[in-house]
Amino acid sequence: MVAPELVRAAQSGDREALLTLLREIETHVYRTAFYMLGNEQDAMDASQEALLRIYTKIQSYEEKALFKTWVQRIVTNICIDKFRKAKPTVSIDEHEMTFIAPANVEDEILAGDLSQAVREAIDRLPEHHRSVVVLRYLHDFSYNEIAESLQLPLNTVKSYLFRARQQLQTLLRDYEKGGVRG
Amino acid sequence: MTCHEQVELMQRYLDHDLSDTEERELKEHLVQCAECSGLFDRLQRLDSELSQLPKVTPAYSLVDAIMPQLAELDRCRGRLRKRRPKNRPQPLLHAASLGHAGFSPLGSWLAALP
Repeated sequence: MVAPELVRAAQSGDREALLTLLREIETHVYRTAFYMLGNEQDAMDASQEALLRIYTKIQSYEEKALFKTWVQRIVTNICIDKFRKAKPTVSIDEHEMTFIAPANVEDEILAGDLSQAVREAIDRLPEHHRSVVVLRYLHDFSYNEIAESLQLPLNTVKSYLFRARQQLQTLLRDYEKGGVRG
Repeated sequence: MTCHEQVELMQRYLDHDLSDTEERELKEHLVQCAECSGLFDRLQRLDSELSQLPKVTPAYSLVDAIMPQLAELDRCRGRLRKRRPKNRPQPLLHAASLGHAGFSPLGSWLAALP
């Protein structure tokens, strides 16, 4: 949690304060980018871009929003842009959220690396569903904080989160059934 | 209440969003419905797996990595500030001002900032 005084000092033009602030948030920014983009290199690029944007845009932050949600809005937007460039055909239509299982989820589960399997499954979620899962589980954000970060209505946030968990449990169950334990 | 509605309660349960009454209602349903009970177990397991995802950290300091770019941004800003005397109203962004700032790759980007 970044102290409001530090944010204010950074906004008033105190460069050292701004650098301290960036150091405090860099891990949080990176964590989001890592789970949004699914690999370290893209995550490094996206988080650096996000930090540069925060450096130049710090004046535009207004205290009516939480600083952490403002930061997460910037990094998720950058990741979603990258995501769209990489996979231009992904549909977020609520009724046609098809789920293409990665070939290696089964192997991951068999190998006992469940967290890797969960990550592979997250990678298959449409971008907004993925953002909601990342903010909920990697940052412990509330429904309201997620809504503020992603500028989505509260009900949409819930519906994305519920649908994402439903899809994730289906995928993981299907592979467990198909595996040794089935 | 239908099973479909119970699924929403399960989901909200994971987010600690249920009232005592709703929670009681869900638990009562789960005792009677094997299908919902199985789904609830899987959702709870998923919830715990998601909560335990590795809290990854960057391999090196990102702020250190962007220091040269930050310095370049500061230099460009300094130049832009000198070019815009405070006693004159700021001109709207037009081709000419973009052109002036174009001596550095970051300059034109900065000029486009509000």
